[in-house]
Amino acid sequence: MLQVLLIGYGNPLREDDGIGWQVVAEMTNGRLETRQNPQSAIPNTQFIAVHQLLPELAEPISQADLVIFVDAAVAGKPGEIRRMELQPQAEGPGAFSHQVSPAGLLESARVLYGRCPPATLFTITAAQMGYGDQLSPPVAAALPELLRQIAARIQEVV
Amino acid sequence: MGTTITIDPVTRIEGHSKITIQLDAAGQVTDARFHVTQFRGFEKLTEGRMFTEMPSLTARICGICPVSHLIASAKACDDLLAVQIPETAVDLRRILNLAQIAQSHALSFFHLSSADFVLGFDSDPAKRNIFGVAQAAPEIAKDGIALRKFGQQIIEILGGKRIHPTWVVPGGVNAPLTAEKRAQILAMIPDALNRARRSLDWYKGIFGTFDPEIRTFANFPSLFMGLVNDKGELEFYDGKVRIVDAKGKIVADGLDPHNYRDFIAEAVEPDSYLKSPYYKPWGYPDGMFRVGPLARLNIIDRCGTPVADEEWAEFRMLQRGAVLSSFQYHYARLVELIYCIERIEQLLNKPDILSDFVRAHARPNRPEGIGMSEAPRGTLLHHYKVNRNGLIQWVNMVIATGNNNLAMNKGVYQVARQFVRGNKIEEGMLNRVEAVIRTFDPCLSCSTHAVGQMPLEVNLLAPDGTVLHTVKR
Repeated sequence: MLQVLLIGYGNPLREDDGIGWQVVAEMTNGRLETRQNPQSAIPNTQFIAVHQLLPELAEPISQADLVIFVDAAVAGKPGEIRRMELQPQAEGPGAFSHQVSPAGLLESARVLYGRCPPATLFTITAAQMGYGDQLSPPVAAALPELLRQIAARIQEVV
Repeated sequence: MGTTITIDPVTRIEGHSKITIQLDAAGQVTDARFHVTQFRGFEKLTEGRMFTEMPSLTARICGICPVSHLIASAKACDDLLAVQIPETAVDLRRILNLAQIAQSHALSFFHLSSADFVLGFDSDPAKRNIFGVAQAAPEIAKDGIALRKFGQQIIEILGGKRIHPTWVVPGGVNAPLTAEKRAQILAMIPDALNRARRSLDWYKGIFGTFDPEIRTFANFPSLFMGLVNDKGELEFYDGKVRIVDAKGKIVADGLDPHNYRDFIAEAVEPDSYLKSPYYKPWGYPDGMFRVGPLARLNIIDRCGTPVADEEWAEFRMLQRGAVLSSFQYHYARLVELIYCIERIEQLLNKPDILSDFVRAHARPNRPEGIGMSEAPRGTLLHHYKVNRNGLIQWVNMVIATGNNNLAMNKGVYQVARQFVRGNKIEEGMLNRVEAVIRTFDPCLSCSTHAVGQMPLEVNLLAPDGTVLHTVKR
């Protein structure tokens, strides 16, 4: 059975930066703990919501058949959704335990665990990233379309 | 005319710091200072809060070692309640603390430091990180990732989440351990122990090639401080304070953490937000002491678990008396990692570990509470005063990294004398200074309770304060 891994990352206490967490919450009916007890509306999908990407994620990435990253972006018009197919790429200068890129994690999965699945990054352009746990109106308005595009991407492999 | 060198930023440590090196007119290094340039002020901003909030509030000081603050804070709150918390609660807190130390030691050794060993101290800084290790020595990187995950998973299993768990509360913990969770953790032990032992064997095979660094990395006589239990064994949660000198001779023993102000004083330097604690009877700066893994292995009579005891005996053969080179913090960290794994297993096999007596309930019964424990980086203390309603009136925290501040300064000075020639910083200086500081695994977020970035700057100053040379990373 094919396994999809969705990683939403950012700070859920900084408004739109929490979009990754919001996507995980929406897709798991609010059960963020599905990280330990996977039960979601979409079969065969494991959800991880984290503040930042860490080297440890290389292992679960290597075990998936498709990885989807969800993050907030600063470039573009607020609420704008972008989809990018990722390739593994070694981390550049400054790589550190606090600062890891999705492409760097894919490369680590390949080097360490011998397997690097296809991966897609979805970003949504943030309008505001101040203190708060609510999405801004343009990002909240774009959330249903983001969820639709993610579900469509998962359906491509399931 | 004299000179100052500044190193800014210092990388692969937790926080933001700057280094200044002072030269005299002859171009000789006269002083080197490690400045921590960030400030948050948790001791002030918690005033007026309910004491019950303190474990959660102070855990926010750090994302790497929140559990350490949880433990020290909860112990200070237990003291305010004037209760003896249930034995099972103590054991469960111990397991959480050991898991925290294991994951933090794995982060320090593998993620932050192993690149220096695998790729060399002068290799390309752009590749000298855990990802460079993954390319050059994938098995080492995999062990590091697995061992950090081991500690993080236990924290998550017990505390509900990896970062800032709220399971530890004044009076104990808020839920007992289930048989299922116990079995889940026990199942993880053999693999973790195997990886930790393999990592230590690897380190023992390579550290000899770093003889110049071992000789010069903060290698000097000092006092060493930490907690020991009543058998003189390694103790991370409770116990009494022991201090030994460079010859390994006990200077003070059985010191009650409640009387810390009798033996620890804190100096404040004008150029750093990091306080400089010292052993009060010896005065400042002669009372400089070191804490953390190296200090702990120097003060104990044994670890208290089988494999760690064997490794500790071998470690102590490195040097007659105390092991003085801070380079061997790395060695000590791996021995402690083994101890943590073994001790977690011992505690999980105690007959009462699944007991549901895990919390004592009480109102504040004392105006003052003190909690001391061992954090990954060394001895940590929280001290609170409350009013009759339990509102915090005053807070003092003595943080593990701060305890090492004087020694870190001296270590930087030692390297500076070796690498500064004339008005220039020689090639290799930045790498060595960073690596010396990294042996202590300082957590500047904790020690100043400050927001962390990761830069390093070194300034070379003339006697009149003119900046002659600046190196940044």
